[in-house]
Amino acid sequence: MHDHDDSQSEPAVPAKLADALRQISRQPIDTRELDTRVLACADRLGSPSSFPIRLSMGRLVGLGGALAAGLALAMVFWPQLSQPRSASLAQSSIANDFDRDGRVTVLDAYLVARGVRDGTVDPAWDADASGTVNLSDADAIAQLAVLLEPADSAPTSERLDSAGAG
Amino acid sequence: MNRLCALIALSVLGAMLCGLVLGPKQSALVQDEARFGWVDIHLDAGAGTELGAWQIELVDATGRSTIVGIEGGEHPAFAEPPHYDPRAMADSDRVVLAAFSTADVLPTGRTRVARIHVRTTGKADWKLTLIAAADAAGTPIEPETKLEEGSAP
Repeated sequence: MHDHDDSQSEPAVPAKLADALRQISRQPIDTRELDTRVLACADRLGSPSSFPIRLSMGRLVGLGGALAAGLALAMVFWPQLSQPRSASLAQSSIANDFDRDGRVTVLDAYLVARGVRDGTVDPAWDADASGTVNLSDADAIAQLAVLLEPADSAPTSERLDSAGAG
Repeated sequence: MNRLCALIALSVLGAMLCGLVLGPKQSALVQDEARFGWVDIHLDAGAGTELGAWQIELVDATGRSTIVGIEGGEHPAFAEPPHYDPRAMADSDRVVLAAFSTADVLPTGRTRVARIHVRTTGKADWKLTLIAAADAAGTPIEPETKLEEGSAP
């Protein structure tokens, strides 16, 4: 162990700066004046007019309303935005839309009818669930296509049952 | 006697006045009477294109018509009545029609594919919309559509 010599380890202070610091330290500090200045500064900062935005009750209500409206819009549009963007993916889920154009029309029936005629049927074309694909399936699909209600308003089986012969 | 003549003259004059006042309304009522007629649906796929399937929608925009019957077209391939919703015949002024044919010979050019019998009160305003159509190979096409109205004598 050895003694620590502070005078040697401290960095050298310029003589001019040292004189200035000494003069400041000799001046008496008026604590009352200092307190008064600090309080005045605090009052100035704490006054309402010093804030850039005044959060009155009306503005708070408006802000809350805007947030609620934004939340409501997000809830409304989120299901649409979260759906797959590819139209073909959505269209393929429509029953009896065999040509995948997004709707059930006579073109789907015609596809089945030509398949029956040419002997190139797809088992999925059994629209009337009879176990075989024939012209009855094409007629059933055509009958679905002309129903006055929207195409997806009821299950296919119910609509086939309720539809009369055309 | 003079009183009787005056009474008769006043009665005749009153009847004439009534005729003048009510006459136009009665003729308007006659105009609004229901009449029967038909609407022919024509499709024109083009000279070299065979019509294999079609689907249209027919609406009376005034709502004054009722569909009372549906016939097929002039070509043997579409001679049978097209598919339609039976509810269209139950007091409806709107119908969707569709038909397809796998016959060897299909119509080309302009052809009448259906005749719709209607009961109309006043002047109808028929709107015909093509929903879908295809040629013999099933390829979608857009034939020209045309309506022709006729009325029973």
